[in-house]
Amino acid sequence: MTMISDTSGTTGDRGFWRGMQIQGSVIGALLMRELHTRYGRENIGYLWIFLEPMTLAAAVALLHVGGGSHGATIDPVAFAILGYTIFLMFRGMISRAEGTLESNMPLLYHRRVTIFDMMFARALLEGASTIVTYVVLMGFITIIGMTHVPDRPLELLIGIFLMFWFSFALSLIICAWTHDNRLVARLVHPITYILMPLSGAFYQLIWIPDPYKTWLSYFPLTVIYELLRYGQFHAAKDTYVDIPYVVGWCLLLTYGGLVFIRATRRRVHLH
Amino acid sequence: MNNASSTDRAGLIGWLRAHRNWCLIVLLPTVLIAAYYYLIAADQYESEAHFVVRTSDTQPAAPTGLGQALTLVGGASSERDALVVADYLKSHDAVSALQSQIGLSQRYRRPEADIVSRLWFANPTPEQLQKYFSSKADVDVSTDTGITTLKVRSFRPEDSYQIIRELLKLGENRVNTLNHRNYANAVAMSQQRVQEAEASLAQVQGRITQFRSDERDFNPQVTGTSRTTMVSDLQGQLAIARAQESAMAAVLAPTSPQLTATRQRVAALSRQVAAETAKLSQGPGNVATGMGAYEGIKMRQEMAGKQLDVAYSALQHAQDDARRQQLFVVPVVDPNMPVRALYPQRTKIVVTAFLALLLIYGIGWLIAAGVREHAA
Repeated sequence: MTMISDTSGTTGDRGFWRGMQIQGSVIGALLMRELHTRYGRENIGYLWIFLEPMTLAAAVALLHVGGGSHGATIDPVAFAILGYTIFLMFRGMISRAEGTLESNMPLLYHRRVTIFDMMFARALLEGASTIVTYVVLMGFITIIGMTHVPDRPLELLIGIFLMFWFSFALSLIICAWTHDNRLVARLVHPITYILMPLSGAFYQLIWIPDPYKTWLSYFPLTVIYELLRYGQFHAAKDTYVDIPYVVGWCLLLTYGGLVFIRATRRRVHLH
Repeated sequence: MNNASSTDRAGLIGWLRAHRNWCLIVLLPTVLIAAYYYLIAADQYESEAHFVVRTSDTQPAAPTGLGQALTLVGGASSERDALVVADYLKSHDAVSALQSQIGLSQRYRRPEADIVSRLWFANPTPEQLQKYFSSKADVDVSTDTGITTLKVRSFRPEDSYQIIRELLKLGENRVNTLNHRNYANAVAMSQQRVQEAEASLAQVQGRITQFRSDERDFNPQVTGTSRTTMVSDLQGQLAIARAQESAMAAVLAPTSPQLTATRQRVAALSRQVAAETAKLSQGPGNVATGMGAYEGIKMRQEMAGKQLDVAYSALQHAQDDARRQQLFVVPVVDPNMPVRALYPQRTKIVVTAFLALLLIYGIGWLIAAGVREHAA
C-alpha cells in the first residue's frame, strides 16, 4: 500500500491508521516467526502442550473415580482441566517473558519492531494454544460424558479474556524488570510454581476457612478462577466474583507494564 | 471567572486545546460524574440488622480438626438454616409481600429521590421491583459466625427502618411456617399409626361384645370353672349316694322303700353327671369351643393394646424430635433508625472514576504512541 500521507508523527488520523496497519502486520510476522522457532523443527514440542494437562487430568480422574467430593455436581476432572489449562496461559506468558528480549534482540534494529509487538505476539500465541488445549480436552471429556458444555459461556469467555489481559500486563512488567535484574529472572520460574496452588486453580474459595478466604479473595487470580468456574459449571456460585476489581488490577498492571517497556527500550543497547 | 483577564482565558483555552484528548477522556466524564453526585444525587439512608437462625437443639459440636474439615464442604447446620432465611429474604416472594404490606414501590418513588436512582416505573412488574430492590438491600450470611447481616437503603430514614423491620417480620413468619410444616410432616406418620392401632383395638373389643351376646355367655372362662366344680360336686354326691346304696343293700330288703329311693337318687345323679360332662365338651354351645374362640379374641385384644402403646410412644418421640428441630430467629442487633446519609459515597466514587479514567488515558496514550512509532 503506497499511502501519501503526512508521516510526520503528529496526531494526524491517517498517520495513526497507517501505524495501526503496519503494527498489525509486524505482530503477524512476529507470530509466524515465533511459531517456526518454537514448534517448527521439533514436532513433539507442540504435542507436549496437550500431553501435560492430559496426564494431570488422567491422574485427577483416577483419584476421583466414583467420588463426587467436590461438592454439588462440579465434575472433578473438568475442574482440574479448567484450573490447569488456564493456569498454563498465565505460566507460559510469565515464564517466557524474561527470554523475549534476549532472543529477539536483533529484531530491535528495525525501528518498526517494538518490545510491545514482540510481547503481544508471544502472548497471542500462548493464549491461542492454551484455549485450543482447553477446548480439545473439554470437548473430549464432554463427548465421553464426564462433564457438560459450559453453562454460562459469556462469563467463561470474560474470564479467559481477563486471564489473558492480566497475564499479558504482568508479562510486560516482568519483561522490563528481568532485562536489568538477573536475580528477578532467576526467581520468576519458582514463583510461578508457588502461585499454582495459591491461584485458585485447584480449589474454590468456599472450601477455605475464613481468615484465609478473605485474604485470598483480594488476589486477582483467585477471583478470575471463581469467574471461570462460574462460567463453566452450573453449580458454581458467583459469590466472590468481582469483575471491576480484576479490571482495576489489569489497568494498573497494563499502565505499569507499558511505562516500563518504554523505559527499557531506551536502555537496550544494540551492539 | 468573570474577572479573569483575556490572556488568562486565552491561556486556558490554549491549554484545553492542547490537551483536548485528556479533557475528553478524563476531565469531562469526571466533571459530569461529580456534577451528578454532588448536585443531583439524592441522599440514601441505610438501616442494618443482624440475626442468627438456630434450633433449640443446642448440641455444640466439638470443633475438632476433622469436624471443621467436614463442615467446610457441607457447611455447618446453623449456617445452612441461616441460608434458608437469607434465600427467602432475597426472593420475589418477600419482595411481593413487602409491596402488598407497606407499598415498597411508593417508598422508592419519593419526591426527594433523584431521577437516576429512583425506581423508574410507577407500577413496576414484580421482576422489575425485585431487581431494583436487590440493588438496595443486601443479605449476607457470615460462614464463620452464622450471623446474617441485613442492610436496606432508601431515601428516607424511616423508610429504611420500616422496610427492614417488615423484612425481619417476614423472615420470622416464614420460619414459623416452615416449623409448622416440618412438625406436621414429622408427626403425621406416627399419628396415622396411633389411629390404626386404636381402630384395630376397637374392632377386637367389638368382636368380644359380639361373642358375648351371641353365646349368651359373659365369660366362658368363669362359666367353664363353675361347670367343672358343679360336675365334681355332683360326682361327689353320686359317690356318697352309691356308697349309701351299697350299704343299704347289705342290710335292707331289696324291695324296701328306702333302698328304692336311694337307687332312684343314684340314677338321677349319674344322669345329671353325664349331662353336665357332655355340656362341657360336646354339642352346640359347649364350653370347650366357646373357650377356644374366646381365648383367640382375648389374645388379639392384648396384641392390639400393645401396638397402641408402641404407637403412642413413637408419636411422643416424633413430637419431641420435631420440637427440638424447630428453627428460631434470634435477633442479635436490632434495626437502627439511620440519622446520617452514608450513601451514595460521593467522594469515593468520583475519586475512583477519576483514577480509572487517568489509567485508561495513560494506557491509551502509550499504545497510541507505540502505534505512531510504526508509522514514523
